[in-house]
Amino acid sequence: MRIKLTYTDIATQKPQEIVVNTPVAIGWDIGELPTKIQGRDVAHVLIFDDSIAAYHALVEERKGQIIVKDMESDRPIGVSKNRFTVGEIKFTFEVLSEVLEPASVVGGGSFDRVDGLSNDSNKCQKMVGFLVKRPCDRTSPIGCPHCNDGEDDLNDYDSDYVYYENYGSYNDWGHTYYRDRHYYHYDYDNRRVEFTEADNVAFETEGDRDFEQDYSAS
Amino acid sequence: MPKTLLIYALGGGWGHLNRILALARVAATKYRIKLISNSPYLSRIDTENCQVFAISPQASFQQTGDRLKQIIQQEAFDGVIVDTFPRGLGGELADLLPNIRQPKVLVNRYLNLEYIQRYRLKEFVRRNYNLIIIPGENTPSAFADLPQTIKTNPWLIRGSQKLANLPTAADLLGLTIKQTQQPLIIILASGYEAELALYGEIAHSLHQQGYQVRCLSGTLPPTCPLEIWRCHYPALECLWLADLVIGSGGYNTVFECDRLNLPLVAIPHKRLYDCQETRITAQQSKCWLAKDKSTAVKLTQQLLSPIKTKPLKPTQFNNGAEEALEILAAIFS
Repeated sequence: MRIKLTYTDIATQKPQEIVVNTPVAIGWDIGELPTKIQGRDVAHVLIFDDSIAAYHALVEERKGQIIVKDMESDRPIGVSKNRFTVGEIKFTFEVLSEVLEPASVVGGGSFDRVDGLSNDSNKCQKMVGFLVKRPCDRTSPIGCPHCNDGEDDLNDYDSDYVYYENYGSYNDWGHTYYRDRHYYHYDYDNRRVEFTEADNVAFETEGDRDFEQDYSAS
Repeated sequence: MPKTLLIYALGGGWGHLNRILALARVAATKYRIKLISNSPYLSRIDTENCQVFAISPQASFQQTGDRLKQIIQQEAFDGVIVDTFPRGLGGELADLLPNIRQPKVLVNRYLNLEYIQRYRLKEFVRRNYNLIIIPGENTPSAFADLPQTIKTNPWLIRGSQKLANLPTAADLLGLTIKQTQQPLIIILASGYEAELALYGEIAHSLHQQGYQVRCLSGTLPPTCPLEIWRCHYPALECLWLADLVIGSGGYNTVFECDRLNLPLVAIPHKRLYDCQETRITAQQSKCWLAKDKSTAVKLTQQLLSPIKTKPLKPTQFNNGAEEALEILAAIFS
């Protein structure tokens, strides 16, 4: 089911509106949030607020109804008139489409086939990118390097991640990254972040520093 | 007429200056020494009969480089000794060294492997230096297997026979003779100005817990109680009175404690070219790594005996600077 979720951003006090496919995981720790449930991609809503747990709630569709589950207590959260509350954050949702499954695309790309929606919804929803995930956004699998012209099922880089023991465990970095996102080039419409020179400094290691530029070094 | 040696000792803090002065003070008995330094501490210390070419630490990168080139091109000398940085700290020696016909010596303190690889320093050193001296470092050296490399004992600013006697050392530390019979912690607060606060906090914490503490540094570290702070250079003269030392993983701190057989709780600080943590862990014994204040305090509590067991006289040791002088005699004769 495709839904539009609306809530108020804690940092900016601005309303946030996102369009996602269910299931949707809500929490502050991306490392704790599931990426797949029963073979389906899980959308993530990251909220950094004291009232929100690392993996707080899961929004799912069952028999055409939206249900919300509190993952801390394993009990349902009440949904009334398209509204529900997670921690102290109030959400409203609007069902945009009953379509649940990805379109019949070849391979692993995830193309919605919903008529009447904006062109964006015809784009591949599969998340690509090794470190920083982003929607594939291709409107056709032809020429796609991620699913090899639609021939391959996307493996979510699982075989690559095994080489990085702590991949996905960002601890506080994820929090500060999200909290400080206004200092980056953050696009509210597509929720993407462009890295800047400031980010380069944050990621800089000893080996990246320039030698022979400082006479007071040691 | 004694021969003239030009010594290049650029770099921040005490370290480069202190190590090269250890050599210069013994070399000054046989050679005329011209010393180039930009240390902010230069004006505070005895430069041991050297002719000093001081470059202001506030000078810009361009000004410093230009002045260095000017000195090297205009001054007369019979040999060059370069401390630590084979190409010069700003790379300015890379063009100059191939044209210097006099013998060239490199003093090889630990260097970041990335730096060595990026500038292909091993080949550069092999071609441009007649002699490489490793002054006691136990850390890996990229130049150790070059045919012109020799290792000596660590270079210290004083030989064991030049250390202060008990009454003088006690006086330098503001202790009575009776107080010297109690266990003593000496904190060597060195490094950049911003790093002193950590040592001040440790001094304050241990002093509050009732330990007998002295903190030695060029300036009073923030939060360090005034009554336990002393400013004396070189600290080595009275350091032997300590039962335990807390300091950095810098060359001088580590090897002064090593030579005096003193337990050292060492806090590594990040440096662009040096790796203090590597030096600390390369020490075979009596050197403990502490990455923060609380670890340093806990280690001190565990290591320090409540009763003084150490003899009240300095340990005898060989000073590698004197060995180096004999090695230099062969090349500059």
